[in-house]
Amino acid sequence: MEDSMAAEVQHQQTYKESFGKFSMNANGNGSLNATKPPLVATNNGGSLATKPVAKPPSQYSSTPKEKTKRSLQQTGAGVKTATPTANASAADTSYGLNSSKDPSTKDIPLQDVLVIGTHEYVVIPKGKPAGVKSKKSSSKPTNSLPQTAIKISEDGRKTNNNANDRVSEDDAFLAVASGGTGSSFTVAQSGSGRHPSNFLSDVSAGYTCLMLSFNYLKVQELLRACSVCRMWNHLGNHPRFWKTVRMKNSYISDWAGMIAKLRKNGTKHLDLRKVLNVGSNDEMWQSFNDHIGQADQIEVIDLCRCSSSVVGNLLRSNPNLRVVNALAIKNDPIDFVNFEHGVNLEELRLKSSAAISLEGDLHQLGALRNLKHLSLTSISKLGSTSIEALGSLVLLESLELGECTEMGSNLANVLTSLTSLKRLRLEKGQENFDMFTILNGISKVKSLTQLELINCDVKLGFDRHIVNCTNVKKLLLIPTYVSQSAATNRMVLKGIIKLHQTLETVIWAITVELLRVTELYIDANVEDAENQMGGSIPILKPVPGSDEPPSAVGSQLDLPEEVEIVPLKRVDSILKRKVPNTKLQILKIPFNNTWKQTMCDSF
Amino acid sequence: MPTIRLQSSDGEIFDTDVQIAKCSGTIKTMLEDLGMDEGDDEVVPLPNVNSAILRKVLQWATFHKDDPIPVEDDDSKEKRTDDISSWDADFLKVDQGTLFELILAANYLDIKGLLDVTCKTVANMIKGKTPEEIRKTFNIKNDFTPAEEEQVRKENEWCEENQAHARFYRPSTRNAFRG
Repeated sequence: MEDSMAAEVQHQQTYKESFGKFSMNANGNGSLNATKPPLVATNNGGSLATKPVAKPPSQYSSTPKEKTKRSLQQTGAGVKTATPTANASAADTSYGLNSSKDPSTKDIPLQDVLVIGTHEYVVIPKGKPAGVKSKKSSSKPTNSLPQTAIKISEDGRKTNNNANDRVSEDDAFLAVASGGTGSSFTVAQSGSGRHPSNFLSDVSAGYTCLMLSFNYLKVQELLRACSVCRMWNHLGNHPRFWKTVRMKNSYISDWAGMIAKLRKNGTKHLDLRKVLNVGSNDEMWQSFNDHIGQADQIEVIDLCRCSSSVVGNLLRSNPNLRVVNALAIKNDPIDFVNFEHGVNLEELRLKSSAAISLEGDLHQLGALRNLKHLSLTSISKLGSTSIEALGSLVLLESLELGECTEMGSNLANVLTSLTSLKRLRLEKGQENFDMFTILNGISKVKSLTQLELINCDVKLGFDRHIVNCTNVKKLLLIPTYVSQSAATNRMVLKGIIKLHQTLETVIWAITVELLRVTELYIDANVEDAENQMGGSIPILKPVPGSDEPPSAVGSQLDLPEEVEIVPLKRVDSILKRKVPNTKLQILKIPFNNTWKQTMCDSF
Repeated sequence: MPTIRLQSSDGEIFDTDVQIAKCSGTIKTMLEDLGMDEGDDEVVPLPNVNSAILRKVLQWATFHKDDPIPVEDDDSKEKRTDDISSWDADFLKVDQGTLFELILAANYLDIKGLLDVTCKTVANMIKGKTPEEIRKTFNIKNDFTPAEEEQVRKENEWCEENQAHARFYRPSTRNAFRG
């Protein structure tokens, strides 16, 4: 046995020498071949010959044991995957040209397997019957050659190339073989000086290209790419492509399979927004809850339309979660059962398409001591629930509350505990919304620098209370414009002017609806409406900060004496003059978009 | 207009407008860090790019010289591939070898826009295809053993695309790069 092994090693070396540059490829894993040569059995004229196969290096580190097990076809398959950049067949052919350089003049073993580019050929002396292993083999004898190349079908299962490809490649090979001298061939290099002699650099190039391109594949496309071949499978499972998994517009037919994949590839962020339901919505979430616990490495999950119990179960099964966003809670009433398990949660956002009522209370939320961001914007009459529970969330840096009716001293009390709070957003502070008490509470939270008041009633006296909030540097203000708009605008203007020393950024959003109403007023009452281009708002007189006499327009209108219609241009210039060190923006937005408006959108 | 001299791996010199050359982050840094003065006669060697590819790259950069500076990749958004401009699509009607070489060159030269559009083109060649169709497109051999193939199939068959959606977004350039 040892003797025959040695003979084969020697034989192989002869083989390498006889194939010029290509031998360098074989050197790549030559030792592997030498110790455990894959065996090729060819039935040639009744005799069974065993020959080594020259293999270019493959990036797969299969064990020698595996290799010996594999059939010729499988061994050869490595060739193809090793050259994913093998680009078009043109490049392949050029390798072929190079590697098969002058076979006719060299001492080729009588019968051998020759790997050219991506194909394998059995070389046999001319005239012998071509009874090679595969029945799909095509033979193409030539007259000018002492030898005939027989192409082995490239895999045992399927022949990928169509007839044309095969012919042209065989032709190329034969052309080389018959070309004779070898030195007359120019080396057609592919690309930047890469060369068959540094074969692995080509592998690396292909790897790089695919790595960069796979970035643009969606999950289902990536999955299909994984099924192409071993190298693609390896690449497609690279954690970089799986860090964030988005299931938009996809069905998940097998949650167990999905979760196994996410676990294997270390997914950190699962985005289920706009995922499609296979069965009913509830069935889907049942499967989700049944399996998601397996993927305990996930830190961030975006849910789509689901009930709050899905979130509760999720927090219980995945205590490692840092961020959960469920912006389409569908059940009414909502409850927070199991929410207390989310002890590592840093961010929680819950929202519904409409205001929903609360079953039970908020005490489970109070257990989420690591929360830094909390957003609860859809619970109706939030102010009359147990919001004092939020007072234990002492690490909170950002708090968003909606449906803030009935809020006042209860929120102010909570705020005194939230000593890390930097940002507060209050939506829909209407009816029994005690703005002044809340503003006083805000003024005591020294860390709080950003205040967003969305659709909140701004009543007479606002300026006197907001003036205490010298800690606020960034202010987004969208007042309710239902009635008393002129008084509201006067308060806003006055308030901003009073805070001129401390405010760094102010966004004042005026609804398109208010502008339209004002415009109708002007159209009906003023002949020279062009002056009012760009929008105007009503402001209760005297207009704060205005040193100019009231414009003529106001006096022409059939308005209550105390209201003046002020063009926004003038409002802007008043503010620029009175609040010169503040970045200021007056926005015109439709009421429907007020909920979406944030501070960072505009700057 | 100031120019610099770029030298491809095969020795060809390209006299290039500095503004165009600076599309490349690599060249820009080189010029700035090494203090190579504009108008210098020095040659900037680009050992990783051959002349054929460099010519293409410069053609692309010339057309795109007034593009706004691309923003850094935002991982929070899904990457689109259906937004390749018609000029770029025409420009990239090349064989696969050239396309991949352009990716490597854009990566080496740090030309984000070109890298983006070339990778999108390759991604579009993969999208909407079965594994078998992908193999045909790139001339790849299926080297899975039947057992492995079964395993891989199991691992990867948990997700289905919305068919209507898939048809809608199926890249129109599907067959443009065959052969």
